[in-house]
Amino acid sequence: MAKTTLATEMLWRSLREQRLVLPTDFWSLLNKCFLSVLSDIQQTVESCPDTVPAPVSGRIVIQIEKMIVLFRQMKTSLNPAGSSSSDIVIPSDVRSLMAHYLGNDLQRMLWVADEGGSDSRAIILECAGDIKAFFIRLRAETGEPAS
Amino acid sequence: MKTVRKHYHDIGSKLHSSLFTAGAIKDALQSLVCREEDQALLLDLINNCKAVEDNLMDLERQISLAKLLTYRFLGPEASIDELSNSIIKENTAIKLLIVDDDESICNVLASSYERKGFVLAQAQDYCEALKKINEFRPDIAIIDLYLKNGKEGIDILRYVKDFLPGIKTIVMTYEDQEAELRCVHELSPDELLIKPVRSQALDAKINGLIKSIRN
Repeated sequence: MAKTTLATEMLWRSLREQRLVLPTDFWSLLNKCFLSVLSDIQQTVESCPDTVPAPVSGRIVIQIEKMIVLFRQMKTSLNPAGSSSSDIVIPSDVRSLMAHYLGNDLQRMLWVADEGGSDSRAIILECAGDIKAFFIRLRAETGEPAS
Repeated sequence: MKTVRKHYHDIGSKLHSSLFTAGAIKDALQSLVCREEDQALLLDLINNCKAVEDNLMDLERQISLAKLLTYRFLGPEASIDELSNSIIKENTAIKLLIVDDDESICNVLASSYERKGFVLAQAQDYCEALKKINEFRPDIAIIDLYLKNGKEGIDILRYVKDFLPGIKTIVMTYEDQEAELRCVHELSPDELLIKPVRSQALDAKINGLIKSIRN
């Protein structure tokens, strides 16, 4: 289960109270692209020693940068102005909280891949696990995706 | 001869102290030893630095490293204090405060910059940040814009600008916080970075600020 922070609790409460349904574009990007890049990272890192070696971390940085681009596209899909699902209005506080929570995990993962360190493998896997757990809970809190 | 041995032993012992971190020595060596014929020696020294970090270095190797370091930095006649001051001045005098409500981000940044020889402090909210700013007196404060407990990073930035403008500030935020970003621009932090940030980008900003502090 993802770590609990004030930001995520605010996000879950906001989603529950407003009974929000996230747009199809969002889930499509998540399922087809974002999660597969995340799985690639997990598989790559799982076979590494405690300190991820430099050539591997270089490849992981490229993967993380792909996730950052996808994450920005997912955020855009939550913005009615940039979404094809223009009838779904996601409040800015929800978008901001989501960005804050996931952005921190992406930031930590990117930093550790850049800098290495004796426990880089464990930290990257922890961040990847946190991100996956976040989306599992997001699906549970928002119900079925809009069609 | 005995005195010289003692002298280098003292230097070697000091390598284990918090002032002489292996990261600090390594950074200093990389900037100082640049001739091609010095490469083998540099590699040997860096391996020794790793041994310092792992607490594996025996007395003989400490003495040998101390000799090499002293010679490389300041020549054969240098004293322990000169060597000490030289490395500290180059690498460890800069005090860095990291303000982020996510403890894991604070820890990752802190361990990375400690390895690079900075003196570190962390804060996770507005009150703790103000306490650290006043007690620790950082040279540079890295401030996340979004903090828990109501008060935002912008309030910390405002405090620094009003009361301690000598402290250099780097504000980090996500692009979503457009309204807050407008206020940040008005307060003119020394640097502004949009997260996620590559470590090289933050290093470059910090190095730029260090240059301006030392000038």
